[in-house]
Amino acid sequence: MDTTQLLKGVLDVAVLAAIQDEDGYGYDVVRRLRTAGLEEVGDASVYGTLRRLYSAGALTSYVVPSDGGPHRKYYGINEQGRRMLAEQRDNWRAFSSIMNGLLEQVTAKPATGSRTAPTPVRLIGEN
Amino acid sequence: MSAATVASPAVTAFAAAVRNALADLPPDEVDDLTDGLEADLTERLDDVDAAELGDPIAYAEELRLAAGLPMPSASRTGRAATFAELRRLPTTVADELRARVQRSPMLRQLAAFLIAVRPAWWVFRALAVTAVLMYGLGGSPINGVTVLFGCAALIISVQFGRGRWLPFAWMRALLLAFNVILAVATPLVLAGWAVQINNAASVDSASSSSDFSSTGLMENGSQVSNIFAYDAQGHPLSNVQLFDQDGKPLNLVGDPTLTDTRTNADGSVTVPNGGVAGRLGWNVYPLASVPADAVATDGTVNSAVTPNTATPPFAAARPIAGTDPTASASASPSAVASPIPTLTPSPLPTP
Repeated sequence: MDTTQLLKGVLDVAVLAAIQDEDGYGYDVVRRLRTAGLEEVGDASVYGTLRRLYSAGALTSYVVPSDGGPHRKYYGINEQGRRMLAEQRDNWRAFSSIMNGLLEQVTAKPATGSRTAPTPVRLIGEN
Repeated sequence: MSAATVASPAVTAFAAAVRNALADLPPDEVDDLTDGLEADLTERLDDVDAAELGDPIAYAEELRLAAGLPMPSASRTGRAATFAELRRLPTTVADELRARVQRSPMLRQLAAFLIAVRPAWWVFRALAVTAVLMYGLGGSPINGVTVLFGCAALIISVQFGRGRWLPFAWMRALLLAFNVILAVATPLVLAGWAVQINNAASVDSASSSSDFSSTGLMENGSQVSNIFAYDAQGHPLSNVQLFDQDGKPLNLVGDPTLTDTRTNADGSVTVPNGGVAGRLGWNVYPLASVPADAVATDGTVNSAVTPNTATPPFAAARPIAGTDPTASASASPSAVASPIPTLTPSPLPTP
């Protein structure tokens, strides 16, 4: 399955989780997500998400100048952000347990799935 | 965390392109969205081996989408909207093509094949650039410089082909344009070459055949080196001028400037009749000859040497029946009255 599609729906909670313990700047957050295993996360998606969470009031932001180089914009989670994270964590757990149950059920009894519908063959020029 | 480094020109240009793509948004919004972008991009380039920045337009769209901001086509108007659409057009077309190819198994196979032979194109591309350069330098031969250039072109071409060393979108566009031009020009150039080669071949064969036909006169496969004429009474004639059906002097030696063609088996050299100016008396028979040492290397005959008259094969030939034995050949000028007006009888000394 294309995990980038799955990622779109959970990027908010993933970003919130990545900075819940420590503030981070854009690429820092990307790196944390990739280290955690979300290899396919797009840089710009993370930056845009940070910006949107900030606009929604879930994050604080501050700029740290660096000597000789371009400055960095750090994001930190605030109280509203923590509430959002807790809420979305619950949502995810409920959703994932439903999905797990559904997927376990299917894999547990593959034999009964005898109604193996023939794969429709699409011919050239049919569409 | 690695220390911040100075943003490279590539990063600065990329960030500027991203901001430009977001230019339809309020400036504050753009600033908030792209603040610290240079630092992030620089770090990313440091972090990932051989990382590329990619397409700034696509990057800006991803940024905009993730931030929950409106897409440009909705907010842009007039020329800006058209321009943005034009910039996206290649991507749109490419996406559409890709989708179509994926739908057809045959096209999928073809696409897989073409992708497999891409390296051949990369090599050809480098060779073509090198060939054009060599041609531009006046067809300079293969030497150290051109070989070096060829190797450099090969490396760059392959790296480009692998998507490396192309930090800016405009470089990709330029490469695409180059590829298209080369793909169109190659068949034309090859066709031109084919025509040239064919022409050269036909010229070769034409000239060689004309050379062959001009090398003297053949009889039953052997070279005719001299002609002896006898009159009706069978007496040998001297200073007989012969012409072919077109009025051209009948010349046995081919190229009269070449001594080789008129050297006889006994080493003597046939010379033109001295009575015709400009050494053009090659059609006055029988031809006389001089010893080989009387001819200089440039073909000029030592004027002090008197040419030896060729000995006729027969002292006399059989008289032709029914002719007046008292008449001589020279006494019938009407027979010599040639239809060729350019023929001017010149006084010829008797050898």
